[in-house]
Amino acid sequence: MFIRLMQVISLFLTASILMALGIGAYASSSDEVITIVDSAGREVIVPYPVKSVVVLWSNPAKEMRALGAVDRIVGMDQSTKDEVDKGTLPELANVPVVGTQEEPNYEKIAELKPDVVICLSAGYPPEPDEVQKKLEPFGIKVVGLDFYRTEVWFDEIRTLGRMLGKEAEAEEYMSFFRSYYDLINRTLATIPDTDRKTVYFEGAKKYLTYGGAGYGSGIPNMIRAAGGKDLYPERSELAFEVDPEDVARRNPDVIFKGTTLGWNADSEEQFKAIRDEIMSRPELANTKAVKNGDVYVISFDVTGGAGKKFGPVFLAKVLYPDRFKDLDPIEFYREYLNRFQGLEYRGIYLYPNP
Amino acid sequence: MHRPDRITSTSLKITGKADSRGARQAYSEFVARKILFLIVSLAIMLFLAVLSASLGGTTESWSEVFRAILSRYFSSIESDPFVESIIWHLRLPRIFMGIVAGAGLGVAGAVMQGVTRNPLVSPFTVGISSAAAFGASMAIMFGVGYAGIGTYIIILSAFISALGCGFLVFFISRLKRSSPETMVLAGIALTYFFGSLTAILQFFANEQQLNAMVNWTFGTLSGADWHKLTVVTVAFLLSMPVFIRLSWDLNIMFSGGDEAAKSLGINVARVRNVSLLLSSFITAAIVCFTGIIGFVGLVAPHVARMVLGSDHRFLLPASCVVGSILVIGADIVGRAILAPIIIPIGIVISFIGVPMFLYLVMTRDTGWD
Repeated sequence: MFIRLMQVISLFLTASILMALGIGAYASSSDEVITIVDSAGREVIVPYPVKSVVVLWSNPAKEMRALGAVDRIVGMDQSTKDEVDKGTLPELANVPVVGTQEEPNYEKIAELKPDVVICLSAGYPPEPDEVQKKLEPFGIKVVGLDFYRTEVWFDEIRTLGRMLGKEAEAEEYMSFFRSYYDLINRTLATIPDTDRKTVYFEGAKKYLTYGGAGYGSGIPNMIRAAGGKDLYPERSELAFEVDPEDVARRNPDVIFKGTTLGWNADSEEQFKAIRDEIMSRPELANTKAVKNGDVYVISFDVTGGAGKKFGPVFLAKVLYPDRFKDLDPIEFYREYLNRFQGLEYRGIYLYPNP
Repeated sequence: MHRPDRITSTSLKITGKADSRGARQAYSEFVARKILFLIVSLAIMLFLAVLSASLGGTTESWSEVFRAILSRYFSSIESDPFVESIIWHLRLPRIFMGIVAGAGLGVAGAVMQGVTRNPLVSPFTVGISSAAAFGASMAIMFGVGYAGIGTYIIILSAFISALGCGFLVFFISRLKRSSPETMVLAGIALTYFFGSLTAILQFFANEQQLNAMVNWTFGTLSGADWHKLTVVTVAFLLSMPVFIRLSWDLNIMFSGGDEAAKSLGINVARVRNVSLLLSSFITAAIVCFTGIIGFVGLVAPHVARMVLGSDHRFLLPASCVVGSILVIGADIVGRAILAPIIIPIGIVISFIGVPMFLYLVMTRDTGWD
C-alpha cells in the first residue's frame, strides 16, 4: 500500500517536472535570450534578437546603421542628436532625445521601454553598472560598447551583430575593413624599419600632440598601423603641449595637423590656411617635413573617435605614396559612406591630396 | 533728602517693569516672526518636493504620483507599477538627496561663517571640495577601475581626502590657537594645494581617466539611491544635534568676539574645532556622493541671516531649509529647462542662486554690521 502510494506520488512528480520542463522549453523558444560579453567584460543576457535600442552616444548609431539596424533605435543622447542635426544620421530625425551621455534621463529611457541601452564601456561616467542599476526595475539591459578603440573594434562589431541578429551583415562590414588593413599590412611588411617615416601629429591646438607609450588617444597607434613612427613614443600622456624646439630637433618626415573640418567643409581655402600657418612657422622651417612640403591637414572625422578605423588607410597613402599607388583613401571612405551608411560622399578630409 | 531718592528708585522700578514687559512682548514677537519664517520656508520646501516628484519625462498626473507613493504603504491603493518604479526608484531618492544635501551644506556654511566671523567662508573654504576632487581623481587614476566596487572606492577616497583636509586645517590652525584668520588662510592655501595635485593627476591621466575626473566634479543628484541617501542622512543627523547645542556659544562668539566669549566661560578653541571638524565631516559625506555643489554652503546662511538675523538657534535650522530649497529648486530647473536633457545641478545652482543672492545683498541688511 505504502509502496503503491510512493509510486503514485513519484509518477505525479515526474509528470509535473516534465510538464514544467515542457513549459520552460516553450517559454524559451518564444522569448529567446543570448548572453553576450561587452567591452567592460560584463556578461549581459539580452533578448534575441534585440528589437529596440537606446544609444547614449553616436558611435553605436552609426555602427547599427552599417549593420542595417538603424531603425531599431528608439532613443538617443544629445551628441547623437547633434550628428542628426549635422545631417549624418537623417534616419533618426524623429527619435526622441533621452538626455546627455553624462546625465542620461532614466525616466525618459524607462518610458521608451527599449530592450537594450548601449553606452560607453568605461571612463565616461555613468558606468554601465550604474546605468544598469537605475534601469533594473524596468527590465532594460545595459551593454557597454565603445567603437572607438581600434584594438577591440572588430570584437565589438561581432557582438553588436550577434545581439541584433545581424551576424552576416557584421561579417560583411568587417571584411570590408579587413581587406584594406590586409593590403596595408602586406605592403608595410616589405618596408624596412630604416625607411619608415617619422610623423608629428598636431591636434587642433598649436603644439598639442599625443604620447605613444600609454593607451593614449590611439593616434600614435593609428600612425603605427599606417607604418609610421610617432614622434613621442616614450611619452605616456594622452595629449600634451610640446616645446616647439623639440619638434624641430626631432625633425619629423611628415607633419599632420588635425582639424574638426571634414563632413561640413566645402572649400579647400580653410585647409590651405591651416597648412600655410604651419609651413610659415620659422622654428619648423628646417624640418624635413616643411622643406619637402610634406605637411598635411587631416579631418578628425577620419582620425578621431570612431573615425580612427579610417585613419590607417589615409595615413599609409600619405606616408608611402609610391608603395600604395592603388590605394585610394577617398574612394575607401566614399564606399564606406555609400555602402554602409547610405550617405552620399561629401566634405573634405585631407589636404593636399598625396 | 530721602524723598527724591525714593521717588527716583520707585520710578526706576516702574520703568524697569514696563521695559521688561515690553521687552518680553517684543521678544516673543521676534521669536514668533522667526518661527513663522521657518514654517513658511518649510512649506515652500515641501511644495518644491511635491512639484519635483510630479515633474519628469513621463506625464503622469499628480494623483497618479501620490497613488504611487502611497501604494507602498497601503496595499488597498492601486497604482501603475511602471509609475511606481519611476517614483520610488528614480525620483524620491533624488529629491531626498537634494533635501539632505542642501540642508547639510547650508548648516555647515552657517556654522563655519559663525565661528570664523567671516561672511566669505563656506564649507568649501577649508579646501574640502578640491580635496574631495583630488581623492576621487586618485581613485580613478590608481583604483580598480570605474565599475562595480570601483565606484565605492572613488566615493570612499573622496570622503577620506575631504575629511583629511578638514583635519589638516584643524591642526594647522591649532598651532596658532585656532584663530579664525589662520583657519581661513590655511583653508585657502590647501584649496590651491589640492587643486594643483589634481591638475598633476589630470595631466598624466589617459582619455577615460581624465573624463571621469572632470565628470566627477560636476555636482549632480542623478547618482542618488536609497543606500547613498541613508549614509548622507545618518551623517546629517549625527552632526545636527551638536550644532544646535553649540548655537548659544556661536551666538556669543559671533556677536562679541573671542575675548567676550572667553570672559563668559566659553572654550572658544574647542567650539571652533568641533565646528570645523563636524562641518568638514558632513560636507565630505555629501560631496563624495553628489560631486561638487558649490555655492549652497555660502549663500544659504546669508539668505537666512538677512531674514532672521544672527541668532544661531534659528539661523542653523533656517540655513538647512534654505539650502534644501536652493538645491531642489535648482534641480527642478535643471530637469525642466531643456527636458529631457538634465543640466547638472552644480551648474544650475549658481545661475539661479547668484541673481537671487545679489538682489538680497542690494536690498537688505546683510546682518554682518
